[in-house]
Amino acid sequence: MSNDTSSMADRELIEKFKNGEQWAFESLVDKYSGRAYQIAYGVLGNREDAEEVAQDVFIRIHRALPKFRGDSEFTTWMYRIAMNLARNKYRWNKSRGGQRNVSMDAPIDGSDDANGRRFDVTEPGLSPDVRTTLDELERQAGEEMEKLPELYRQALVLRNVEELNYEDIADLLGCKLGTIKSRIARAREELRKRLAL
Amino acid sequence: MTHAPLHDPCPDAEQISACVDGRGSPEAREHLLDCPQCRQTAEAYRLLDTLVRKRLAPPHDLAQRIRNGVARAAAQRPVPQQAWFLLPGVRLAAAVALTLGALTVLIVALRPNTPEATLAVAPPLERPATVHPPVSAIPDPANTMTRVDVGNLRPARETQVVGSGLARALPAEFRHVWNVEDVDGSARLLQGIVGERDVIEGVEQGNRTFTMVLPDRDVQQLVDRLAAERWELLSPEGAQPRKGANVAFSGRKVTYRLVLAGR
Ligand SMILES: [Zn+2]
Repeated sequence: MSNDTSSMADRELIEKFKNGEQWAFESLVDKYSGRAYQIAYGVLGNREDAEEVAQDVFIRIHRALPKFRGDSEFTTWMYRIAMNLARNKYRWNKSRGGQRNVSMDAPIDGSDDANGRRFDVTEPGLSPDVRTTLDELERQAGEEMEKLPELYRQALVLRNVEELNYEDIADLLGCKLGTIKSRIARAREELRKRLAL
Repeated sequence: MTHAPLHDPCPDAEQISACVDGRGSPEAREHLLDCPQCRQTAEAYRLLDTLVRKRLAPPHDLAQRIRNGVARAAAQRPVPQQAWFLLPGVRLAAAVALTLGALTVLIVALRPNTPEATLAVAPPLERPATVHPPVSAIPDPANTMTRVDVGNLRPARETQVVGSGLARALPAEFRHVWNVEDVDGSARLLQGIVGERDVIEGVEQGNRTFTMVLPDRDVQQLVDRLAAERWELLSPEGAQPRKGANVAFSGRKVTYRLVLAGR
C-alpha cells in the first residue's frame, strides 16, 4: 500500500516513538490523519463522523503502537483500524435510525439518458460562469455522493483516497477485485446520471 | 450509450470506468479513442473523481485537532501503556514504593513524567488514589474532542474505595468483560436496553465493546438485567449482579465499559 521508502520512514518514526519521542507520533498523525478521515468518510458519508473516527483511529494507534511489531505495514494496519471503527460507527448510526435509504438495484446502464441531457465538460476556471458552474457542480456532486448506496460510495471514495488501488480496496472491503471494479463503475455511472453529466 | 456506426458496440459503464483507472481491456481502450460518446462518459467519470477528491479534502486543521484529541485521551488514561517504570530514576522509586505498598499513589504521582503526559495539551487528570474524580472530570462520550479513550478504561482497582463492611460507591469508571452465547444478538439486546443513551461502540482484540456514561444506579440495574439474561460476568470490579444492596448510590455518573466475549 505504500512504497519502500515511505514504509521505511514509518518504521523509523515508530521506533522513535517507542523510544519516547512524541514528535514521531505527531509526524504519523500529520502524514496519515487525512487518509484515516477519507476512509471513514467513505463508510460514513459525512464529515463530522469521519473526523470523529479519524481521531479514534489515532487514539488507538497511540495506545497500541508500543506493541506494534511491524508484521504488516503501518498503513495497512492503520487502514484496517479506520475501516473497522468506521463500520462500527456506521452500524451504531444505523441502529439509531440514521440509515440512508437508497435503492441498490436501480439500473445503471445509462441508456435512458444517453441523448440530450448532457452538457459539455468544460475546462475548469476559464470564465466566472464556468467557475460558478463548477462550484455548483462540486456542491451537487458532494451531496449526491453522500446519498449513494453505501457500497458504491465506499468503493468510489476509497478509489480516490491517495495511494489506494483496486487491490487495496478489495482487501479493505473484503471483496473480490471484480466486485470493486463493478461498484466503482456503478457509483460513477449513478453520479453521472444524477448530475446529468 | 449509443452504437456509433463506425465502431464496435460501445463498452459498458464498467469497461469505461476501468479505462479511467488504466484497467480497461485493449478493445475498450481502443474504442474510446474513436468514439466521442464513450470518451465523453470517461471524461465525466474523471471529472467526478476530481469532484469527489475535493469533497474528500480533510479539514485543514484535522491533524492538529487529532493531535489534541490524542493528547487529551492520553491524559485521561491513568495507567500508561508504555513502560514508564523503566524510565531512568523511576525504577528505584518504584521499588521503594512497592515495598511500601504504595504503587497506586506512585502511579498518580508520576503521571506527568510519562511519555504520554508530555504530549498532553490539557493538564493531566490528577486524582488521589482513593477518591473519585469530580463528575466534571469524567469524559463525556458524546463530545468528540474530550471523548473517553474507549479502548483503555483500566480495571477499577486503583480507584475503588476500600470499604470495611460498609456500603461503597461504584468506581467512577470500570470495565466489565461479559461472556455471552451470541455476541451480535447480545449487542442488539444491549442496545435495546440502553436505548437512546450515548454508547460508543468499539472493538478490543476482536471483541465488541460498548462504553457509556450512566448514573451509578442505572449501571447496577443494567448489570442485574444482563445477568438475568444469562450473561456471565467475568470481571470482579465495579457493580456486581444482585449486589446493589452493598453499593452506596449517589446518582453520580459512571463511565462503564462493557466487552462482549463470545463463548
Ligand atoms: Zn462508444
